[in-house]
Amino acid sequence: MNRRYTIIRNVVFAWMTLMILAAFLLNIPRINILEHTARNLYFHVPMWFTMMAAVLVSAWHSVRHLQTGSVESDIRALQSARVATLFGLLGLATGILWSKFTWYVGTDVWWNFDPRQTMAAVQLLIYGAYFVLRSSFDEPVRRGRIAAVYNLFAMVTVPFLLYILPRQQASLHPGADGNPAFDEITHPVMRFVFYPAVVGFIGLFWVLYTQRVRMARIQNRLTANPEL
Amino acid sequence: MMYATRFPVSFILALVLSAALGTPTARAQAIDTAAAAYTEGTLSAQDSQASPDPKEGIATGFDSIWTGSNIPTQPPSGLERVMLSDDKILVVLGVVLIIWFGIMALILRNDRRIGQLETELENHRSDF
Repeated sequence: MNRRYTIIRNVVFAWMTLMILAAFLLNIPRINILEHTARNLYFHVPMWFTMMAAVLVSAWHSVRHLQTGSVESDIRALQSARVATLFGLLGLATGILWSKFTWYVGTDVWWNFDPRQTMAAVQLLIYGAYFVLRSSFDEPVRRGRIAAVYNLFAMVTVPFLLYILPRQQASLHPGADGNPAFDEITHPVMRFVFYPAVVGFIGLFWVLYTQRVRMARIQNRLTANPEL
Repeated sequence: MMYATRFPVSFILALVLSAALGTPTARAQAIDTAAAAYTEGTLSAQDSQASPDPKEGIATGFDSIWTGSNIPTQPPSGLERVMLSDDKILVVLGVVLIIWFGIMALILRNDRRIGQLETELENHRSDF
């Protein structure tokens, strides 16, 4: 376990370094309004892909917890949801900065209730409720079971809030209102960096998540309470 | 436990803040402004007239709803003058820094928890 973790961690670190170099150094076409900020495709969009992957991992372990009742899967579901929330918050924050200097340039607007942005914020609130729910139980068995059920509900809302609903409304985000998400005008160089960036950030999630799982395990052994 | 409850509070704060900063009316205005800047072909345009065919341009696939009316763009303010310089590369820097700060925050929290676990371990030792 530890050996595998070390290898993957080192690969992820090297991979992310190369990805960041490629993201800044490779030449891309300049499009009006976007200009260099098109490079945010390598950073802002993988945040959401990573959150989605983390949410799936979390839901999987919640199912396992309901099946077996093991503390280990409860720990994994919680820590995966925590790191998922971190990536969701980062996706929201990077999106706010990006939109300020492209869509809302020349105005005082930072947040405009773009459908996809709003739904993403709602999504994060739903996951915020998961942590509140957990903290309201002192008895670990009940806490684990009820939190796992709520976590499955939270996971089911993800595709609706992040894909289905925003795509049915007019939005400045690509993918809305019959506007393809990854248009044929996306330059091949950008695809060449974008997909490795998604893989790299998911790898980074795995490293951070594994670290927290290990900490929670130690906490559980010391205090018989895995809550971290 | 304290850690868990801090999450949603910051969220609600962020939402309230954002509601104060932007309203749906401002949204329509921002879309119009973007449309004006787009059809001008320049971002620092002082006066703007929507061109007859706003479908021109390489970014058309992404911005079909920016074909609104023409609202005059303000000249760039202080922060915008910095961020829009050098073809907006500083916006990408800002985005990367936000991600870095987020990861740093997680590492700092982990550090604190590890410190508490170390204290806990010491307490267990003294039991024996």
